[in-house]
Amino acid sequence: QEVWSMGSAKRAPDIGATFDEETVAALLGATDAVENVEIQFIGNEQEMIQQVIRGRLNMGGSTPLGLAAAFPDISVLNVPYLWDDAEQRQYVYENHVIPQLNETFASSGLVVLSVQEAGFNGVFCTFDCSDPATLKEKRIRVSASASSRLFWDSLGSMAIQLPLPDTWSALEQGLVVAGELPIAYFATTPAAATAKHFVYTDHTHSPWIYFVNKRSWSKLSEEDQKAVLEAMPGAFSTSERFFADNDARATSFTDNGGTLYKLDDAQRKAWADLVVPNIGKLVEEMSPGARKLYEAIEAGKKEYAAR
Amino acid sequence: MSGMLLIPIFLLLTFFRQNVILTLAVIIGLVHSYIARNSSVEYLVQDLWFTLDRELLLSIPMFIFAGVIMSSGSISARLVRLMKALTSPFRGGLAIATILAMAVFSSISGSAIVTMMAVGTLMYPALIQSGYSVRFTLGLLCTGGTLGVIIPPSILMILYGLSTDVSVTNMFMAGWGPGLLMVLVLCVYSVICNRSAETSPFDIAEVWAALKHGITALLMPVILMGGIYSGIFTVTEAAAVSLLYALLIEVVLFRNLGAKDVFRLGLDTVKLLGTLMPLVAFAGSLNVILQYEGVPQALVAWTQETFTADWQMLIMVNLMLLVAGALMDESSAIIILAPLLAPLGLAYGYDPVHFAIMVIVNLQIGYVMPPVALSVIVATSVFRQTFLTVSRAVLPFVALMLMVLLITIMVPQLSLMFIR
Amino acid sequence: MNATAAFLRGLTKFESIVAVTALFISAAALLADIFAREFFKVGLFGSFRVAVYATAASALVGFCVCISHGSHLRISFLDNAAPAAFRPLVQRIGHLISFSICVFFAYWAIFYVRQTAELGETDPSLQVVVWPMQLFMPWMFISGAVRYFAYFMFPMIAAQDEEIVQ
Ligand code: NA
Ligand code: NA
Repeated sequence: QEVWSMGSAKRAPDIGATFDEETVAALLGATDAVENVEIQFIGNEQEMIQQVIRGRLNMGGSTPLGLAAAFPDISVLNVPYLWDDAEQRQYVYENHVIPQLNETFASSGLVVLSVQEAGFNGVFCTFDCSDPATLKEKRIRVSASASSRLFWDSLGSMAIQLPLPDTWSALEQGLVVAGELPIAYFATTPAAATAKHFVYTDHTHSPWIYFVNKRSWSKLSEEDQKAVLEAMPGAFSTSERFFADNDARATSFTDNGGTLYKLDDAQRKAWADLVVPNIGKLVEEMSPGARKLYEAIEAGKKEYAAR
Repeated sequence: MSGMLLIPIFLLLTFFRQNVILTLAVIIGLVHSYIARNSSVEYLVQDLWFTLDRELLLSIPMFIFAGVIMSSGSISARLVRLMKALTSPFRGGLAIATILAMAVFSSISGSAIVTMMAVGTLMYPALIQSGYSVRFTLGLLCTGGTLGVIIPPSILMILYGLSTDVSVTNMFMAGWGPGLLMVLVLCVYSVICNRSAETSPFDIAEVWAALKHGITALLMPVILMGGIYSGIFTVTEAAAVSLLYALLIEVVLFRNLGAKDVFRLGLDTVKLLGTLMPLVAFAGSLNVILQYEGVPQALVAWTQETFTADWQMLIMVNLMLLVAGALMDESSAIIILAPLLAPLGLAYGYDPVHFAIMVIVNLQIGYVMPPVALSVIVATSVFRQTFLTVSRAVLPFVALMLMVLLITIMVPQLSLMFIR
Repeated sequence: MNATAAFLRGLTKFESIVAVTALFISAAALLADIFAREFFKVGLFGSFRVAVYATAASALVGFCVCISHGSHLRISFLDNAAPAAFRPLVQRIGHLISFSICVFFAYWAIFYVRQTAELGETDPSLQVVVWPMQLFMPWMFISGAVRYFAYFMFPMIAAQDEEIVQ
């Protein structure tokens, strides 16, 4: 019997920490080969993923943004406005994305355990930015991902790449006036004290992917492997609780004087219309592996529509 | 393998004259191989890389380079001239001039050593000629240099931010209070010690001339801090701006330095970097192990069980820091200790920035606290004195620094007044 | 011995140029970002990352430059523990130990970088593979090993401890 360790960038009260525990519990319930899994908080996701790939940690969980250094191709999953609705997303993930993820991960010695919810990015600002025109030529913080860059370029903003910890003080000093994060995370950061406005643009969706090091995995018997995979919660089975938790966090944001902007269809379209026409160009510039995944997603979406 | 075995290994490596980085490398390699669970040297190398692969570290070489350029060019001389003109009518005026020049230089440089050398090499002969005792002078220069780590920018604060979640910008704002208090305390002490020192009448013409001469130097901290606080650039970028400013002044405006000089000073910077950054990287790996082994959590739990009153915790933390500051180089100390101690501060309800400033002010003392006292070691060779002489010279100043530390701890507003 | 000394001098010169150049690249990358957004209203994507890699290179190669100048911090309280007659021998064995430590870490650094290359780890901002940047780690230890071995063979050419440390 072994003691495993799992890397995670989630810390209570983040509901992701609860999902981590549930994933661990499911694994421990399905196999006797692992005695316990200790959850190790690691703030830097890229570093944590390298630790799992190289076997210092046995398993971990992260978003495509965190996984981008190890698997550049899967950043496709962060393409803005990729999905029409949750059912479509679920169908395409189960039938097309997850099989391909497994293939991609195997090349670096990882095995996908389960795919869960990490929600949508929204836009936070130091002023009311519910109209995308207000962000034109404004300085905003952009992360390392090409999708994020495309989004802000499409709005005509001046995208400044900053590490997250620098972003909080940059907002305070007025170096940047906006950025994008999921509401649940944003509400817990120091940024929420400075950027009092949050718009539910829901432009970028992220899955939360749990994975295990292949060498650790292969120490389990085949029956145990099968049992563990079966014990894992189904794809996006955490979504409902995730979004409920989002709403709870959002309340804490408004309680502290923040304003939330939920968009109606017309408003949502105003944002999407600026971004969507540029997506073709983004895909063109992608690596062959990324394009393959994108095409599989598009085919899956057609398949779903035809059903 | 028992951790106790590391001590004879350390002594053996030291006996065979290994440098600090290789000694640390062997010790941390052994920790990875034999003490840490599920680890090996492979992961040590990985930790090295991930410690160096951080944006926050970028400002360190820039601040060092800017400081090196300014101490070699004319800026520090201009500062000294101005401060001399302003303080000559007062008893102990030259000492006050030294302190003020160091304070201003500190607000440009992030390093105690660079600050001490920049102003100290100019002021040491002047102070001795004016009748200040060697002992007082050495103590003053070593201690005044440490203003570099408490008055922002500060490499120690950047390293603290690197290994915790505390905002470097906020620490930079908070450092001013204790930094200026330290300046005041040093000035008062200098006057008291040198009541009989000679004075000269106030020369308004010289003040004016020195001001014109020194304005470029005085503008530097204004540009630096103004740029950060008004959102033109981040702390990291501010460091590059200060380097650019130093180059523009010394190379373009005053033509004190040519391309060859700039390369030589770049090389001086590389030599500081080559000793500092690998040390930081190896210390970073030890930090990762401590995190993996759950030491911070265990420390918080143990402390909360042992010390119910927060003043008891504060005494323990400060004693620990004083010992670490005396025995270790401060950059490694802060990388290893900050993530252990910051959760303690939180657990006892302290403001994270105030707590961070307390740690910095405490480690500031480590620069002059033997046996491993960087300022003393450097002063020994720069001013050609024995280690013992310099160590004894700094003792009364250590008492002053402890006093400032105490006030910093007891009066949170001193640190927090500038933070919104 | 003279050839070795000349080789080490050349190596130091080369490494000095590399490290100082890297320092300037780092500064230029940071400044370019500020200027781009102040004067041209665009952010330079990835300039921070260029600066990070350049700084790492400067620091790692700087380690070797420090060896050749004898400017590494060293704890000296046991320097006089050996009888005076044996001190040169202690120093010589010390160089051999330094050499071994560097060789050991060079092995692991190469191992690590090779693994990064095989895994295809990529910088998400710059869209380039990371391993060439990591090569400065093996460089640091290999060049250190070469120096210390030369010092062991010919103690005459070893760098004297510089007066000013850090
Ligand atoms: Na400073
Ligand atoms: Na010390």
